[in-house]
Amino acid sequence: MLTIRGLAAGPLRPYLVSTLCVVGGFAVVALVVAATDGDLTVAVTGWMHGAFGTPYATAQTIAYATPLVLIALGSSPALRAGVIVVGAEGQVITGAILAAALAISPLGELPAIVALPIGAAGGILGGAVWSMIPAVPLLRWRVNEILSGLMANYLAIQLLAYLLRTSMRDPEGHSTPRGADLPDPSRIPFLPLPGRLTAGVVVVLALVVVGIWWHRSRAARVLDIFAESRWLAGRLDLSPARAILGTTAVSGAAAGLAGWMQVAGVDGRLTPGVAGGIGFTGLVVAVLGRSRPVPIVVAGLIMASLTTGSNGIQLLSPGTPASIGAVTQGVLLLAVAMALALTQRNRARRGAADD
Amino acid sequence: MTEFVALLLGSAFVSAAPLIMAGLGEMFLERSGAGFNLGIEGILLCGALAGVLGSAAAGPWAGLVAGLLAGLVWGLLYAVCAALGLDIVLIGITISIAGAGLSTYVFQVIAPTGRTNISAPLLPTLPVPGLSDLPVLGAPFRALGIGLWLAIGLAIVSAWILRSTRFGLRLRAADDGETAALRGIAIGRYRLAAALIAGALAGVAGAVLAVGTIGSFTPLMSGGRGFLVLAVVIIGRRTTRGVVAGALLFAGMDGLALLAQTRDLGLPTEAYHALPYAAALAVLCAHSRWQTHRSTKIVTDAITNSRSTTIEADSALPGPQANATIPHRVKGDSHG
Repeated sequence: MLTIRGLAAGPLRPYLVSTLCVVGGFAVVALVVAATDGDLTVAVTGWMHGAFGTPYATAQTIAYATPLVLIALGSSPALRAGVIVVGAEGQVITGAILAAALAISPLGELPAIVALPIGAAGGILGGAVWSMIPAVPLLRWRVNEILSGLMANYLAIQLLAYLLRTSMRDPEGHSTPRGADLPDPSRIPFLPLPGRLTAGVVVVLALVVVGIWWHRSRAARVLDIFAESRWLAGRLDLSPARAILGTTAVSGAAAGLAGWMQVAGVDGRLTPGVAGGIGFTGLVVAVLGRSRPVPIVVAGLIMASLTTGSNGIQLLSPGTPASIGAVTQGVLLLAVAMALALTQRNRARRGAADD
Repeated sequence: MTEFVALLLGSAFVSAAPLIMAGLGEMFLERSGAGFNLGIEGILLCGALAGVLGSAAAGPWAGLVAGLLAGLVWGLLYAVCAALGLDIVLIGITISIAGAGLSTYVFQVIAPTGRTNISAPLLPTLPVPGLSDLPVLGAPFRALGIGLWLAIGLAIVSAWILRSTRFGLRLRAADDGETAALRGIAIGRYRLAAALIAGALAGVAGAVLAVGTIGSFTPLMSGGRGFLVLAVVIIGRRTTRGVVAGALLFAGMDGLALLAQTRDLGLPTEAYHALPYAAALAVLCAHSRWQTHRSTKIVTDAITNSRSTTIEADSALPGPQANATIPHRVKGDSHG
């Protein structure tokens, strides 16, 4: 019996089981590729080439990983407190909407040193506000935050569709709905490197450092206690209101910031696909990284490399579509989850034998 | 006006069938206490692809069977993972990602871009006797998709199974893990059965979605319906009648959203799309509010120990870790 939190906190000791599970997972993917007449060696070299083969490819992988790591980092306090935040998808959207709205207003024309923080603040605010949709009912009436978070996601998707069709539609007119281009001062500058890496990467790296510090702090430990016993956490001066609202707001803020990075960085405008599944993948990265900053970065890079690498596979062997990346993500996730479940079961058995 | 109603009914009937079927399956799953499946989206997509392939190979009925089999596989995976003790949210997201990825991948291998799409024969339609003779309003009843007939039949059978059979009674009893175990009910077996039913019905729902009216597969064609199914079950309060009514209501909203694209219905089309989710959110809050009001009257210690969500948790399981203190998580496993 294992919860996401259990996955997040448990130390990973029996490496053998884990290795077996992951190898088994890749074997399943290999079987899928082989069954559809794909060449395995070509697929593997294609993946390596697409993910890390050239400086440009590596930069692309890091660029894909950035929002995932940010969302995962943001949701880790909530996961530690036992609040399952599945609303990142919607919070990315609302963060992006508010950031874009501020950027195309006169505020966005201010010098970059002012306009960029305004956009970021907009993203943070948009995400944090939307994260209250599951958080407040959870606190007040103990509404299941997973279901309400999912519903909030779809509300955000419809809100975005409505705004892009009406008031935020690009006045220059395009056949597909999209927002107006953001003015230059509001756009996150690109790093002087090959590929499309923005300065957002630096922000996320700084947040990783903050995360490493925070996860060793007393506050993090008290959240662990909160997940186990709210009464005990109350004795340590952590009220349910502060724990639930605080951690959810952090997760929403991180997702909203990721939304700002999508709008003001890579895309340069608000698009219907601004979230594009990164909310869910971000939660997956948090779980795979067991809610710890460094493993989250590793997990984020792996998940991103599956996306960029599968493009490389398609390039080298056109018979194998890039959607093999999504298949691998799913199978790998299952394999790691199984590994963690099995090792925890073994540990529990040993613990029971010791008693 | 009658013409408008006829149009609305027509489109609502088309979108209702998959919602009812998958909703019934999800209802079985939740009633057995095996948690809720966030992966319906992925199962729908695999069912849709299997349905199109099966229908193209051996006719629409084979398509339904193929969808059912595809769904069964995912249902089995859900059951096994839940029994192993994996978190249900994790399983659900995994099935969602893997199902969407696998269906897209297989489809692109079979029909690469540039090649013509596979087109499969459609399911037959049947008129509703009596209603189809109405002057204008009869139009949608004249060719009612077999999917909807099937869905209504399944609803009647499900209601009977849940209410009047030994299997249904025990399945519902499995929701209360501890008591059921004391009564000698093999909880694991009933939850496995429920997961298989849920998977199979979601697979059939996907097949109906694809070979009901369209007859071809497009990647990600389910477009969030898998999550709408969760909303249907919430708003239907996990009862057969509620699920059918909720599915019809949401299908009606879907029809309104479609019609709002071409004519003025007062609200923008997105509002009609958003309404089901908003309604589900409201029902979730109202239901939990009522439950907390009730439970705080009985137990004042409720904040520390039982968070009564819509999915009741069996918190007092003799777990190996001290996770009885995280009672709001639904455990898929009862004999860990």
